[in-house]
Amino acid sequence: MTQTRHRVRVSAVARLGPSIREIHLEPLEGDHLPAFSPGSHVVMELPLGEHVLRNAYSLTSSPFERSRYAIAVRRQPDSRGGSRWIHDELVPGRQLRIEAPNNYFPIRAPADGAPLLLIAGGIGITPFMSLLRARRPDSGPMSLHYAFRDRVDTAYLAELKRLLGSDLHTYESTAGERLDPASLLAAQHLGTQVAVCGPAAMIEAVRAKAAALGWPEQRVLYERFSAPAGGTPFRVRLQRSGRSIAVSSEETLLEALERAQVPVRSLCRAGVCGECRTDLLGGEAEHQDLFLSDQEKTAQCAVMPCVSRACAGGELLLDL
Amino acid sequence: MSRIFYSKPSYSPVSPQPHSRHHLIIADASGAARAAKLQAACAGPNTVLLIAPADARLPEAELREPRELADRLSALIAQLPAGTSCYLFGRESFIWPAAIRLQDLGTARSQIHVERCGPMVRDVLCIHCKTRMHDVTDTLVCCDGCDLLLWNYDHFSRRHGAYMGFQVNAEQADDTPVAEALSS
Ligand code: FES
Repeated sequence: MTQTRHRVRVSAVARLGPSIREIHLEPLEGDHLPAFSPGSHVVMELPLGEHVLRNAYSLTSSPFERSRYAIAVRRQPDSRGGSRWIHDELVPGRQLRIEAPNNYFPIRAPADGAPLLLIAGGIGITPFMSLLRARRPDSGPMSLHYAFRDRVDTAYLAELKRLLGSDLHTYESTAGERLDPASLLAAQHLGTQVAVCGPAAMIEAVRAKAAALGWPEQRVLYERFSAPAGGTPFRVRLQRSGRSIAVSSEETLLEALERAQVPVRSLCRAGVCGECRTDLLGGEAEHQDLFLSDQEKTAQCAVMPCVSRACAGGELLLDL
Repeated sequence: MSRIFYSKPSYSPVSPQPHSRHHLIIADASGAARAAKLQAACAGPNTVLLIAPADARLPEAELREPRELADRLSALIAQLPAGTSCYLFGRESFIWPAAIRLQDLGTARSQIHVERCGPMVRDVLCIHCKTRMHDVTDTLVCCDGCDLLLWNYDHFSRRHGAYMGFQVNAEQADDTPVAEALSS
């Protein structure tokens, strides 16, 4: 926990669809919140009963707006209670703690005037909102391809139409509309930067197609909108302290370690930043992170506790 | 003179990149032969820009004047597919500024492949008066602008496509090393 914390108050809760809420947060002290760049997220502490859940949310407000932050949250039926709590319990006036923003998805064109192609799936639209809301007439060419299940329960459609006009392309799957990454990427010109945020399958499809079409890796930026949280319960043993801790199906390994007061540094809590990297001394991990190299994953020499778990029925031995 | 700082590029022969949807080949007169070889080895569609007089080995090349290159590249970038590989052949004073231009337009460094061709010559930029000397062959050169004797230093500016030249005998006018032919 290397981040400064800030106390904020919920100033508004807006309904963006039957199962999506936008939450506005204003500072409790002073009148400015820390500056951030498009694509940033904040980790918010959610007081759920006796334990505190720490979830990361993309900032959807414009970076030019410093007096408040906005985040958008979809109710996830199988979530660990974070989104349910936000939807059912969070009301204006409520005070919360957040960590200063961090950015692992810095969305920007690679050069002045180079086109930016944005691809969003469902609630994966959120990291793009801060960029689009700060868009200026001279911001350079950009287009958004937005795929979702059905238009009624989709965030920001009307606002995006206003912001982007004909640069917005939508794909409603219940209406039989499909976003085809192959033809979309094939039509792009040299110098284009693509940024994609959505379900893992969508990101994989875009990355695979881009590679097949000869795109350089650094022109494909991606962010998985939800880290896999929870799974099969397992045990973890700590080499240095000799402790053994149970990780329930409801929590991540990082959360279990935090609950047991074992200090592990973390930032993104989504397997991206590398901050929580811990040496693995025994056992086989199911990695799920985007940080370790393929060699490291196969060697089973380290884990990212924010997203990794033990392989079915296994136990992990950590250098802690 | 002891060398404190190297920024001299090193090169290895470039070859056609697999998975590319288009190959953009750019060459000056000294790179034409290599450009022709690479074009012959390219399977897919390609464009050849020759910043030199016509060359029989590259019959389909588009011919351009040096001053037209920057604008032509911006127009091309807006037409070629994202999965294009760019290959640059020629003198260092030519390939590097062109590579920088491509990057300024959004091409990723990993899409750009450069190969130095032609005689062992350098453009030298006098750091004292900013005069540029073309095709210098020796480790010492007398500045055309300010007449100082310059050490042709291994400090290369990719943006300028030139090596920096420093006064060699600044402390003692009679202490002048012997000029040698450039070897690399
Ligand atoms: S906290 Fe960032 S990778 Fe785990």
